[in-house]
Amino acid sequence: MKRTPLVAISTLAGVAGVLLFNPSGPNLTAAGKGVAPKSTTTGTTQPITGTPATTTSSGTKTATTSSGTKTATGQAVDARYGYVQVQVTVAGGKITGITALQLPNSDGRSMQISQAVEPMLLQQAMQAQSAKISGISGATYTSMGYAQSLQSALDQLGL
Amino acid sequence: MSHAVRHVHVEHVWGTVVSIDIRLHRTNSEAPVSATKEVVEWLHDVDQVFSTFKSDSVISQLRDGRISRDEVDAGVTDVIRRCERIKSQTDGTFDPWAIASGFDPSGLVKGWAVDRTVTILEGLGFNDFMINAGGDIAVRGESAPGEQWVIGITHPEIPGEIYTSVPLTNQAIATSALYERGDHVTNPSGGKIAASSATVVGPECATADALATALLIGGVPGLQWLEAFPEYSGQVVTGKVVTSQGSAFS
Repeated sequence: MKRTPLVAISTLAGVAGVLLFNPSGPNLTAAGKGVAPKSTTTGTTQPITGTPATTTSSGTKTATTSSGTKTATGQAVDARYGYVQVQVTVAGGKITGITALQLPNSDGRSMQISQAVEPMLLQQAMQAQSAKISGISGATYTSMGYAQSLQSALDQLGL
Repeated sequence: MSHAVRHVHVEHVWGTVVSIDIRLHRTNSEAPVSATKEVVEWLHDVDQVFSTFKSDSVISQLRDGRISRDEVDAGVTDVIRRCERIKSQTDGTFDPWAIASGFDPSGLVKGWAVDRTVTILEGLGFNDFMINAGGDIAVRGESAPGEQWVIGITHPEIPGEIYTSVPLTNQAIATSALYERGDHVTNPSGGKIAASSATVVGPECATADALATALLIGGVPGLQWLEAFPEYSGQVVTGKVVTSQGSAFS
């Protein structure tokens, strides 16, 4: 038997975000729209505090290889607090940008969520991608929990 | 010109979420959509048979004596036999019969269904894929050209973080822990749960799933049970210490 100390791997930062990237079939098109790559903050952890319940639906998406810059635009998803729609930019097979096209802003709480969602989606996607992690093993999560899980980020954004 | 490299489907079923992630980099198959549809239908069939929340499920009928063990199909019989074997080889620590509400094989069925899903996809000609049923995972082939699948294990104390990652080829991994769903694990002897997280890696997800539950309850001493399962590796988190046994964690 081998004993090691329990650590947290902070290359995959906390999933405090609202992972509402649409799971029901975005169309990848070579729109060539230049969404500027954004830098990520690494080594910080963001404990989940008061994350909102969200709804997700079952769905399918297919990723494609890319040689140039392409964007994938998801359908708007009803996220209880309002509709969410995001656009992912892929360059050379890597995610370089995520833009929220539609975010809830009907009340104070939703505003707070909206401000947080965009950088978090990008951060999670890029960090999971750099760690080359494809799946997350953990105790059974509920449908609600899934919406905020790393697995959800990987399902939606991994390439 | 681009071609699809990945087909992912996310299905909400069994009160959890199943991700079907098919990689297409070395297949000419154009049928991931229909294959996924077949798998999804089967996942819902499993729910009809094994759900303890549906009064007309086979398991519910078995629990209240409306049917006997002799009347169930081969799949249910297989699950029951596997439960018996692991109960016996974990000194009764994994015990679906000790649940207060009646026989509940949920601690093995999710992994078992993952294994069957693997068989379905292989039968349809897919070589590279991952099935993740609420954290119980089986992988086949590679995730990308020349790349093993890498699975992160959720940190038991810090939501949204992992504490380690494990590269896998043609294996299954299951983690049982006290996060997310709270007290869904019960110690049949009435004692406490010894670990905060337990993970098992091996060829079959059903066995990994059940052994992970047993290790969560039994803690580090439970790793001795793996002697009866030489193809399986185990890892137990107790407090701030991670104790591992087997090649997957070396």
